[in-house]
Amino acid sequence: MTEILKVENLNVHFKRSSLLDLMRRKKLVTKAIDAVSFEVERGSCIGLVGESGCGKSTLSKAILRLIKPTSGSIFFENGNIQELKGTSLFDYRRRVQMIFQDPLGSLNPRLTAGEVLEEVFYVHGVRKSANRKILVHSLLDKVGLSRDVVDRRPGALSGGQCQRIGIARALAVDPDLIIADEAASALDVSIQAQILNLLRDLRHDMGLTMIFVSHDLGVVRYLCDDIIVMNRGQIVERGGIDQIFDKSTNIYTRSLVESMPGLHRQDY
Amino acid sequence: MMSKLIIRDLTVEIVTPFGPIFPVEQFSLSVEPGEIVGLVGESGSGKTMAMRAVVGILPRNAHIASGEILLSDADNAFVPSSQQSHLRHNIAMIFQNPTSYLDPLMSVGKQVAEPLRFHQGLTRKEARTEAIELFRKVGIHDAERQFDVYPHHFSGGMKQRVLIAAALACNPKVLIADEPTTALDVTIQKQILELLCRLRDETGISIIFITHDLGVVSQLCDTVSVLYAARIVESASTIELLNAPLHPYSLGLIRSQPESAQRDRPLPSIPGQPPALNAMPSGCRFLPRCEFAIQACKQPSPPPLVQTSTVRSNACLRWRELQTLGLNYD
Amino acid sequence: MRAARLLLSVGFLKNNNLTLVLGIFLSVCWVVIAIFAPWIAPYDPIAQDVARTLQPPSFAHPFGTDNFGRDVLSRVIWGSRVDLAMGLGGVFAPIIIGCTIGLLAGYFGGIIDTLLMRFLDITISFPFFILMIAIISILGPGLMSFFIALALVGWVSYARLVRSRTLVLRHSDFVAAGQILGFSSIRIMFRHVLPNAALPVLVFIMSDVVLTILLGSSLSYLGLGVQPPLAEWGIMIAEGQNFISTAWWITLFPGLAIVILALSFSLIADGLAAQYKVSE
Repeated sequence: MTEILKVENLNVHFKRSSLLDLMRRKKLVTKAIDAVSFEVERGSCIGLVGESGCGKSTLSKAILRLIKPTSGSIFFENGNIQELKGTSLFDYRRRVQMIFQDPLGSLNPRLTAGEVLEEVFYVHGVRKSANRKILVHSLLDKVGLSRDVVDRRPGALSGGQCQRIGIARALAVDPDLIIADEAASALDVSIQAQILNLLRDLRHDMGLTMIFVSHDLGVVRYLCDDIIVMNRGQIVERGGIDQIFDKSTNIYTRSLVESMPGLHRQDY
Repeated sequence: MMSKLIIRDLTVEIVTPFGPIFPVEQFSLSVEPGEIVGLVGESGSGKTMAMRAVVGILPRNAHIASGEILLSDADNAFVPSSQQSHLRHNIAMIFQNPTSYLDPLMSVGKQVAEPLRFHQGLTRKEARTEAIELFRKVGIHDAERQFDVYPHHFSGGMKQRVLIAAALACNPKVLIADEPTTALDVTIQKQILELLCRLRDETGISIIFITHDLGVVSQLCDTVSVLYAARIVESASTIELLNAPLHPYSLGLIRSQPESAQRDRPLPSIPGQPPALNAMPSGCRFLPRCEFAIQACKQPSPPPLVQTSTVRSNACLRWRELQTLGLNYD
Repeated sequence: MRAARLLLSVGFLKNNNLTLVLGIFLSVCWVVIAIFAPWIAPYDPIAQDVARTLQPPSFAHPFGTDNFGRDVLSRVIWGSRVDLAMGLGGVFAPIIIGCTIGLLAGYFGGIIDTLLMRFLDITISFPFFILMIAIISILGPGLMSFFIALALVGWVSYARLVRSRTLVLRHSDFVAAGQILGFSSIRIMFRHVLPNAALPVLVFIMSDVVLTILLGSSLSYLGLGVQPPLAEWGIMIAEGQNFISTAWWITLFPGLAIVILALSFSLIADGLAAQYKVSE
C-alpha cells in the first residue's frame, strides 16, 4: 500500500482582530488546525470524527485547497499541493473531490440536474453535447438515479436524489480521493442507509480513497477502516475500529464513544 | 399535579389552491403522567405538525379538521380541547434550534423571568429569584451570574437549557420536545437527555420527545410511536418496538441503523422514498416500499391502527406473520 | 370557515399574479404606443398651428393644443418614445457596470473589495442630483450626456445589491463545489453566482426605470435633458406651467402619462418581488 495523501505539521490559524482589540494591541488567534500530521493510504477509508468546531471541516477545506494553511504542508502523491499552479492545479482538482453535507445547498438552484453534470464534463474537455449526454446517463446509472431527473431542478428533487446528484458530480471527473463531509447526516434514516450503501459500493467498485468526515460514530464504524479523532484543532487519537471503540484509553475518545446513542436492545 | 394527556383521532388539514392535504391523519396518543413518549418519523411524516396542533401553534393555512385533545386537570377530570387556555397553560414546547427562539437583545435571565411576571403576576424581584431557581434546576452553573448574560455568550447546549427553563417556568404538565438535541454534539446531547430524565423523575412531568433518531429513543423513552406519511404505523413500549417491531417500516428503520450493522454487508436499507403529501398511494402508504406487501394491502383506505395487545397497536395487516420473523431474517 | 380560508388562499395567489400581469400589460401598451407612434398620433407633434393655440380638449384635439397650437395628444404619444428610451436606455449601462463591480468585489473580497467599495463610497458621497447636473453641464445637454452621466453615477445601487448577495452566495456549497471541480472564477461568477443574485436586481431595475424616467423628465424640465422642440413629457410640463391657470391640459396629460408609465413598471417590480418571495 502506498500513501496517497500526507499532511505534515499543518497549522491553520484565523486572526480575529476587531477594532477594539487593535486599540488594545491585542491579537486573537484561533488555532483551527494545530500541528496536524497524518497520512492516508491509497484505497483506504478514513473516518474523521470530532464535535462541531474541532477543525475537521477546516482540515478538509485545506486539503481541497479552498483555504491557505498558515504553515505546514500537504502532499498529494508526493507533490506539495501549495505549489500547484495552472494545469497541474487543474489536474489536482480533477483527482480530489468532495461530497457535501447539505444536499440541496450544494447544487445551484437555477440549473437542472442534467446541466449540473454536463457542465463538469464541458469544463473537463468534453465539447460534444451528444457525448456529454451519454456520460451523464452512465453517471446517473452509477448512482442509482433514473434518467428523467436530468430536466429537474434541485427544488423538485428529494434530499436523497439531490445527494445522489452531488455524488455523481464528484464522480464525473473520475477522482482518486473523495472527501465526504457529513455526506449522510442531513438525510432521513431510511435514505441515509441508501446513500451509505451507495458510497460503500462505489468505493469498492472504483477503488476510491475516502475521507469520511462525520460526527456520527455509528456511521464511521460501519464505513471506515481507520479513525482519526479530533478535538480543538488537534488529533487526539488515530486507530482502527477496535482501538477507538473498545480499547481506547484517551479520555476524549472515551467520552465520545460513551455519548453515542446506540440501540440498547440487549436489555430486553 | 400530574396529568394525563389523551389525543384522539387528530387530523390536521392544510388548505392549498390545489385542494386540501392532510399532514396528520387520525393521530391517537395517550401520555401517562411522568411518561416519556417518543415520536419517531422522517421529515414530513407529520410528527411536528401533530404536536404543533396540540399546543395550538399551527401555521396559518393549517387547522385541526377533527379529533380531540384532552388533558386531565387537578381532579383527574378531563378538560375538553375547546378550552384552549387550559391546554396552553399546561403544555410547553421546546424546539430544535434554540438560537432562533431566544431574543439576542435580551439577557437570558430576563427571557425566563418575563413570562413569570406576565403569567403568574410576580414582581420583578420574585421573578428573578424564581428564574435563578429554574436555571439551577436545568443545570446552569453559577445561575446568579448567568442571569444577566446575553444569548450569544452561550453555547448551543446552554441555550437549549435556557429554553427548557423558560418552558418549565409556568409549571407545565406536559413538555413537548421537538428534536431538541439534533443540532447539538453527541456529548452535549447526552447531557440534555440526562437533564430531561432527571426533570421527569423530580417533577413527574410527562414528556413527548420528537426525534428521527432511534438511538435517542432507546436511551430516553418509555414508549414510542412510529409515524410514516402522516399516520402512526406502530405504537409500543420502546423495548418491545426495538426488539420485535411488528410493522415493516419500523423493522426497516431499525435494521438500517449503521450502529447495529455488520461491516462486511450492505446496510439493509428501505428502497424508494416517502410519498409526498399531495400524492399519497391508495391503501397502505408504505406499500410501494414494502417487502411484505400482498394483494390485500391495496385496499382503498389505509389500514387502521389496531390494538394488538394491551399496550401495542399496529397498522400492518401482516403483523402476526412479522411476529414470527424476528429482526435478523435474510 | 373552510370556504373562507380557501377563498383567501386562492385570492392571495391571484392578487400576486394580477399585480404582475397588470404591470406587464400596461408596459406592453406603452411599448406598442411608442413603436407605432407615427401611425397612432393624429397630428405631427412639432407642427405649429398659430390659428389653433391653447384650445381646450375637443373631438379634433382630445387633449387640447398648447401655446404653439401643437396637438397635446400627439406630443404625449411621441413623447413615450423619448421617455421609454430614456428609462430603459438609462438603466442599461448602470446595470452592466454595477453588476460587474458588485460581483468582483463580493466574490474576490480582500483588497479588491476594499478598493471598489471606497470608490463607491466616494461616488455616493456626492449628492446624486447635483452630480448628474454637474456632469451634464460639462458634457452639454442632450440624451447622450444623460446616458453617460447615469453610467457614471447610477451603478452604485446595483453594485451594492449584487455585492451583498454575492457575499452570501460565495460561501454556499455549490460555489465551493465549482471551485473544487476546477471551474474558472469567471464561470463561477457569471453562471453560478449572478443568476442567483439576479432576481432582486430585476425587481430593482423596474423601480430604477421609473426613477430614471422621472429624473430624465426633471432634467428636461430644467433644460438639461432632451432639447425642445422634441416632444418629451418633462419638457411639455415645463412649457405648460406658464399657462397652468388658463390651459391646464398642457401639463395634466403628460403628467398623467408619466404617472401611468411609472405605475406600470412599479407594478411589475411589486409583482416580481411577490413572486420572488413565493419561490423562496
